[in-house]
Amino acid sequence: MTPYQERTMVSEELSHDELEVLSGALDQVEWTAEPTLRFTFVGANATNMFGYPRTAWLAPDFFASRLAPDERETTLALCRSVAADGRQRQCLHRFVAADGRARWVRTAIAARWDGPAIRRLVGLTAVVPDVVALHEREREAQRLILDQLPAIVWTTDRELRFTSGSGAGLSALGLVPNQLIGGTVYEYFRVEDPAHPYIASHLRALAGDNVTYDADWIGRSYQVHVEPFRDHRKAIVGVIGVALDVTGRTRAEAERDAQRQLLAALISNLVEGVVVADVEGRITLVNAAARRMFELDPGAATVRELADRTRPRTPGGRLLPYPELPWTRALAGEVVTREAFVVEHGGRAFHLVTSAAPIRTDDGTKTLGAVAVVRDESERAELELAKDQFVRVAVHELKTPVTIMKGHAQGMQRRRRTLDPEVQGMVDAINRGADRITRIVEDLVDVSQLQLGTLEVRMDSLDLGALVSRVTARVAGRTTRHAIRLLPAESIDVKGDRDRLEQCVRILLDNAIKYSPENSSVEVTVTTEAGRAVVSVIDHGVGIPAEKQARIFERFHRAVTDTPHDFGGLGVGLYLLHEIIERHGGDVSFVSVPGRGSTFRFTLPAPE
Amino acid sequence: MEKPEPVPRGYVLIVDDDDDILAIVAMHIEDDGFAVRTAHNGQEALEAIRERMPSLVLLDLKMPVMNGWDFVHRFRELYQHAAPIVVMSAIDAVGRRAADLGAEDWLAKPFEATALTEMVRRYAA
Repeated sequence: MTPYQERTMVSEELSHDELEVLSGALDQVEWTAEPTLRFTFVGANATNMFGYPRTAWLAPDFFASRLAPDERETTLALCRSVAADGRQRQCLHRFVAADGRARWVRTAIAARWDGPAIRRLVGLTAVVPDVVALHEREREAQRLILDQLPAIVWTTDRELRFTSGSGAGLSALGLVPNQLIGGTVYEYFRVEDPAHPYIASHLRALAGDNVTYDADWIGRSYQVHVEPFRDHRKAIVGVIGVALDVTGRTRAEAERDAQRQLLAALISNLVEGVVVADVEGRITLVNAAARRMFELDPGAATVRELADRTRPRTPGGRLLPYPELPWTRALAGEVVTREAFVVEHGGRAFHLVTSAAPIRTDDGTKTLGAVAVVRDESERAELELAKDQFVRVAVHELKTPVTIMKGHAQGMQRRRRTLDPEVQGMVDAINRGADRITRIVEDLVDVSQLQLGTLEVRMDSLDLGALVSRVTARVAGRTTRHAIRLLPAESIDVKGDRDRLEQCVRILLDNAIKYSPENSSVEVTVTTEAGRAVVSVIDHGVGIPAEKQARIFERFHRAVTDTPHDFGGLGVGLYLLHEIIERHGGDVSFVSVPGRGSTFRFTLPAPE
Repeated sequence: MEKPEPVPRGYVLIVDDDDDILAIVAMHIEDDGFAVRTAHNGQEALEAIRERMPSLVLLDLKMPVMNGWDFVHRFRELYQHAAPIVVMSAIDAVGRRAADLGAEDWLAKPFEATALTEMVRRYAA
């Protein structure tokens, strides 16, 4: 935009009052300043957005002193260049608000002209969300790195259309960064022939090859490498190329250099985070994606510092000690594959999946360091969480209408003498239906608590033998079609959650009854074995097919699906049992023979 | 011949924002011979209590205007333990929450009518 155009766009007629109204209505601060960046006017939002009274903004060095120290100089330089050449610019930077917090803002600045001289600056400063700001800064940093590479780096899509072009070497060809975007390789080299080396190399890269060749462009010698450009699923989406100016250099030097440049370009473009550490645990390489995941400074530091600051945890919430970090384990020679952990910073949790391996000398005798590749799966984790929260809310909403249904059904049951027998049966069925909904709701509440990590298990001292006989008696009282026998139960003191353990016994008994023929017996035993309390429930029912046995403790898995013994249910009972017993430090096992019956048992630690 | 109106066994205040819940809880308790008053939130409950102290408060927790937690704190400030409070709610771990709140007892929604009437007899009769 020329100074003349700008002059016509910024009207000098805008009155103070008009500016006031305008800036109050927008989510940004509008300001005018002297070319020295001393503000002469700030909009009404200045106070609500940043907390400083408007008069404070008029102090001579107000703007400069509120910039984050590490980027003060670059930001000021950019602003001053607007005052120098009159070209409009914008910049993403941090601005320290009155509460001391640095907020990411975007400042756009234009010049106002008075004849040939720049009279003052006008600008807008708007707050941008932190995540957006970081992302943009990262891309900016990436671009700057690429632009400074002493080479030419380009990428294309599958049609060989340029999608980027960068590197300090571009200027030798009379190009500026990204000038080629949109054009094709065919157009740039003015060749159509697919057999021409420039084209053939790109086509081979699209087919998966790495190609190296020499080229002479505008009187200089280049060594060119082209490789397939892959997305994070390893699918080839285009070509990435590097040309290195080798005019006057040895071939070996040039080759080494080219490899390095290509690697640097590839790593910095990866969606995955890459963190390399040496044997001392010092971080020697970290790409932009990893910097975002761990909020690392470009110059950071050591693996220990990284761990101290981001406090990696397992998905279950346990803090990972230093020896269990992927780098530490890789340095010790281990190959880590796809392990999940969680770090938190900036008020946000990052769900990461990492693989790590040692870096060894070519002969494999010496470890030089360790590399970890980290993938950000937060989005998926957040979706899972949202789903669990939805289930939790939805099932709670069901409880009130079920209470109303049951209340009325039972109200009618009380007046059953006034109802004819047919209606009595209907009312009983409504009540039973409500009970079934209740059981489903309770199961889903438990599952969502497990998923959200909010299921509490209280460790009280209790007598397991008494607990099992209580539940067994209650269940036996409910069924007339099965003989439920509790073999003499010892009194065993264990630590556990009374309600949850009762639920476990109930799950096993309900399953035993559900999958056994009428009049068959179910036996329950409580014993101790090698310092552990053992509860067993033995039925003589349909059993579990061998091929389905491996998955019966999975959430929503139902071994009986598509069999004649499918009596409905959500498939959460055994999952709940397994999770609850595991939280008590116990374990669950079973033996099942189709057609003969199943024996399920769980154990709990029993103090002497 | 007309039967004389029986003397109520006690006076129960039911607090819940859901009219249907109020209706069925009131029905079961009245059938059992208790006098009943209903309120839609903690504030209405406090107004009812100013007029007459109930022998039992049946209390939902999540309600608009004044929720059950705030009601219990206010009630204790004003009247200490002048009436027992039984929490009646659909939230998770209602037993633990009722205990934390210092309520006398609790009923998890949905509940059996018999559990409700036993609870009322225990505290209000």
